[in-house]
Amino acid sequence: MNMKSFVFCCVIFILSASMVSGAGTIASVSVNSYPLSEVLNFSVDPAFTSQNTIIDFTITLRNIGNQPINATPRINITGSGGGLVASLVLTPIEIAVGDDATFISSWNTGSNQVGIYTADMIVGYEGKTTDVVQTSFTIQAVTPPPSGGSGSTTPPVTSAPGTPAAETPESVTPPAELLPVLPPLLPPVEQPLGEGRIRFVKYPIIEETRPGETTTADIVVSNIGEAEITPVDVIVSGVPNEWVEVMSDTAGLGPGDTRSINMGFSIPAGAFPGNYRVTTTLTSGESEAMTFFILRVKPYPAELERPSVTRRVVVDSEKGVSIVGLKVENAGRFIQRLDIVEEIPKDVASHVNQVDFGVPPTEIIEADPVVRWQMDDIDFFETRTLSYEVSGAFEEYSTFVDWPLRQMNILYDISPPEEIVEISRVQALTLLPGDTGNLSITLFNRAIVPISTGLVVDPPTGWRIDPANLSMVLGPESESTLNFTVTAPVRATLGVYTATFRLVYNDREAVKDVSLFVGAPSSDEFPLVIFVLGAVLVLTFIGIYSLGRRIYKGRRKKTVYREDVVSTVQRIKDEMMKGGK
Amino acid sequence: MADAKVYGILSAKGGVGKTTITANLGSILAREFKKKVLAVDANIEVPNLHLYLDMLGLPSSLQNVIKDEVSIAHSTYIHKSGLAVVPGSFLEEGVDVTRLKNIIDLVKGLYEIILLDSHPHVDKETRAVIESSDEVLIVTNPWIPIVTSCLLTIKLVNEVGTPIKGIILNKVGRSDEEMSAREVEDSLGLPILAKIPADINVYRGVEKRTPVVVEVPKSPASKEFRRLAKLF
Repeated sequence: MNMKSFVFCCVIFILSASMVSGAGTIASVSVNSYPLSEVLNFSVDPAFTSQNTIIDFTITLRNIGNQPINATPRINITGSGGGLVASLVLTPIEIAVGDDATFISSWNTGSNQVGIYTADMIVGYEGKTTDVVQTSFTIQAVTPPPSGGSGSTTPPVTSAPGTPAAETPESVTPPAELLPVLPPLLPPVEQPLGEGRIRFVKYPIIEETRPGETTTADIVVSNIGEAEITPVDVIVSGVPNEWVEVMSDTAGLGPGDTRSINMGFSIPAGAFPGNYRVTTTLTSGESEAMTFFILRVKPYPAELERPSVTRRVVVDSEKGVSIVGLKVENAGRFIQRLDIVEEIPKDVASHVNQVDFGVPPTEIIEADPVVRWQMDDIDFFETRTLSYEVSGAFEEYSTFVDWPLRQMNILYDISPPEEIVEISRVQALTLLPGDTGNLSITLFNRAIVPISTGLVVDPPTGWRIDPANLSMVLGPESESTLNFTVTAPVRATLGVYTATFRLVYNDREAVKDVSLFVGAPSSDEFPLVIFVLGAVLVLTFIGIYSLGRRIYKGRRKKTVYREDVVSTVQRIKDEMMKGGK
Repeated sequence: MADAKVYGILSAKGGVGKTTITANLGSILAREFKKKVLAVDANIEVPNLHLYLDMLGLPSSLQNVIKDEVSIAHSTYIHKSGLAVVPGSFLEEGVDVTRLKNIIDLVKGLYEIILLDSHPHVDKETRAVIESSDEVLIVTNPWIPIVTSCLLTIKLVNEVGTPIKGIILNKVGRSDEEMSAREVEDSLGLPILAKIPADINVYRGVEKRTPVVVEVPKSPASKEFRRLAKLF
């Protein structure tokens, strides 16, 4: 028996015991809450990956209980030998009754060995584990590039005027430039070039994109030497030539002059995902100065209609800051709320006070720092950028390369679920003025858990309905019929009156208007007797007819076994099996 | 987990209820019996399982998988009942159905039950489904012409050598003149696994693109689907 079944049985037991002790008065029973979630999905994307690649774990939960739950998923990743490789603890999120929530947590495969890995997703709330779901993924060896090396096997792209961007062919073959190895240290910010000295004032460290998309990267350089550098050519290498177009002036750079080098990248739809080292080399005669950054081509998400985040990190060496940008693109429909949870590495900032947020986070989860931005109004296909600055320019890439987004939470604005509890049947009631009659209504609980409800009756003016309110617990997937005594006012006139029954459960309300009829009082009872007798006669006729029909049907089915029909089909079958048709 | 058992859901005529059976049996096994179930719309020519499950506008389909354009994992979608679904597409042509078995074999380790909704004819598409299946279920209505047409399917199944689990008699109780379950059983020489009544809720469910076992779980048809699901 799993945990869910056990808890469920306990609740049923408590409910049954309470009903017995209450001598059948269900109104005395109280089961106020019952948390229950269902795992709709746990998947990893991509399931086949390589080292130093970011993969996404997706968890979708549905609250099928009768109270909001604060779900806390955790993912344990184990290798083929059974050893724990990583444990991802996700930030909890409250899920309302009947709603779905999706958690997406990213993880860098890093230098973990090639092989098959298992991911166990453990979810629970209130400190209890309620579900454990498993999936697996494979870290594959990357196929060596056709040329056999990771260097620049294609001629670099230069900034020569008039160089057109080539067509972008689709290919799934890993290009020679794919860099599946750990990134190197950053080159120095200041380097001699020609007669002068170049300072890389502003340069990217990482730029994330996806196949089929375009992006840009800009480098700002300044001549901090005392002599002019002439001419200055720019060469970009590290990605296939077709992907990049460079725009930069080649004229001489005087002392104190600043120049911007703009690069546009068009990633083919069939590009091989991975990390590419884009090297930008400035030349003047025989002299060179260079810098590089990681262009990360992320794989398409398995589910296209959902939000995605790409990261950009840029260093401004003059201001002494690093700027982190998270581009949130919402390709998901019906999203009610989107959370972006960012964990900033300790090497970057050890306290939230060291971070200057361009867009203030909604919540500081941990001061060291883990922060959350909440978007309650993001539209379909809307793009937003979250950014922040930290002090310092970093010397190595590793901090940035191993920096996946910690978590993304998606709450769907699905159409309101059908009523969990409904007033399913109401008996009609006709009274004479001043008379008292009985009215019954039936409640139906669709949920698979007991639900505590309260019913409030709002009678028409002058009418009396007893009891005026009551509370009860409805068993799982069951009906309960409630009886009320209704008294019409003595002076009620002929007509239709409306009583309102309000059923309240959890945070919901089901409302049912019930019509009460007032007939005309009669001094002579004879017509009523005739009416009743007529009704009895009609009902008796219908009953006899139905009974007769049932008897006829039952007799035919019991007595008439049509041998001819069976033998006809069997004869066709025999002929067919012999080869005919 | 042991490999999934693959069931082909067959009939020689259209409209008898193969897709209804696939959608409802798959949904109830996933939702109520907590089984890991995959439903594949192997009706290559006229796929419509996605219409029964309200899973329209999905970016990829079984046809894309067969054409090696995407992996089967990227074409598997989870229905709200928990049923995993590989939908079909009207838009893809020139699909080599003989690859179906290789594709199904790839994901057998991930599920307990795989249901293949088939094409309503006796042709190479149906043959591909039979060859991909461990057992087949034959769907019919209690009418002599439809029961007789089952013989063509049974003949093809016997040629391939796949065992027949039994008959699902669908749309039962519409007329006093229809064949009784015993008559169908004796005619075909196969056991009746379930008698799904002609329940108005089933048709409403199709209209709402929601399986009746999800929409009206207490309906007569849902009760019979529940009874059928216990056989798996």
